[in-house]
Amino acid sequence: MTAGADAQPVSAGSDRLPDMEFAEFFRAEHKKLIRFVTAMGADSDQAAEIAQETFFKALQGWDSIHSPRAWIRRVAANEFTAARQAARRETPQEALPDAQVPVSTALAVELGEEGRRVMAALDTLPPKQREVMAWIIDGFGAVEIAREIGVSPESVRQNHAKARKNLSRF
Amino acid sequence: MIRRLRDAFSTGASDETVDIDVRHGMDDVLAALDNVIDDEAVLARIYARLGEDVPGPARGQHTSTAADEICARIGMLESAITTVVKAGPPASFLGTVSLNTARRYLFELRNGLQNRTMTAPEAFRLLNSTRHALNEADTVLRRQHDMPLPEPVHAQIGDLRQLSTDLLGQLEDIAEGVMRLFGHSDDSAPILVPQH
Repeated sequence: MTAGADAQPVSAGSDRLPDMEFAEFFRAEHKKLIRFVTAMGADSDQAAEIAQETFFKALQGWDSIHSPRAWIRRVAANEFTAARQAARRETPQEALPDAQVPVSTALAVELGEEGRRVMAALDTLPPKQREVMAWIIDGFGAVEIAREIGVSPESVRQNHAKARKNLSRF
Repeated sequence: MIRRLRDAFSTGASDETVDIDVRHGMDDVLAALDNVIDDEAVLARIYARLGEDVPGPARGQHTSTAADEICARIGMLESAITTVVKAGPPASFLGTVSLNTARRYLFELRNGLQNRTMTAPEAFRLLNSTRHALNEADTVLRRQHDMPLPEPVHAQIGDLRQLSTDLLGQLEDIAEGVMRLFGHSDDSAPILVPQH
């Protein structure tokens, strides 16, 4: 299997379980990645598409990815950020392949009140604070988040503190 | 959730309370996605783009295992809670909050067992937390059922009480099944659920 352009090891501390196969990893993380991208601000259909594309890249480079939990989130976050910037420029982005996952309508029916409230609260956050919260939700610490999104740990902590403050005001 | 956030700050509670509440809300999103997303179909599409088939038997196609059977039973409890809670009083209603908490623990338990990554101590912790939430719901609902409330609300509380009583009974059966899965082990090392 050939490593894709994004398929570089991202951290010294591997979160990969011994002998974990891609399919097993996919089953454990697929929905969590959709939730992660949704927490960043994507609608659920877009999040499902980005997750699918990210896992396709992960499969292509699976043998060289040492920390897949962090890797898929970094790639998905970059994908979402690029899509958001493209939308701001009003440049139609090429549709992601195999976009066959109609999630929004079904999710709207299934989602409970607490989930709706948290999503509404996250909607009020600026993008950077929201991104940090998305990583925090998935259990990552400040140092690891900083490494993945390319800022200092202090910047992560500051954005985290601001996010908490803003969420408490909502 | 938001009121709890405000309370957390007004009473000087730890900032971590905010993270915990946000995580709980996002667990709801994960539970909802679990009912909406077909992992196997997406996985098959991903492999198909490389001209390959998913290696090994896809989940849902292999022979049912003890873990799968337990997961199916846990899923039924989750569905029962979701159905009754949706038809019942507002989500802020105390008994409903406890039932939703129990549902969230059950979801975490099922997710861990399905992914074959759950440790025995974690499974037993979630079972105990679920039991605690159900007992709490039962206590609150019993108290509220004795109050003079409009008849529709009274009937809804009755339904919730019946549910929490039924669930407590079913939970004990599930707990026994989970203990059998782990061979009554209290080993704290990661344990893959046996597939037999």
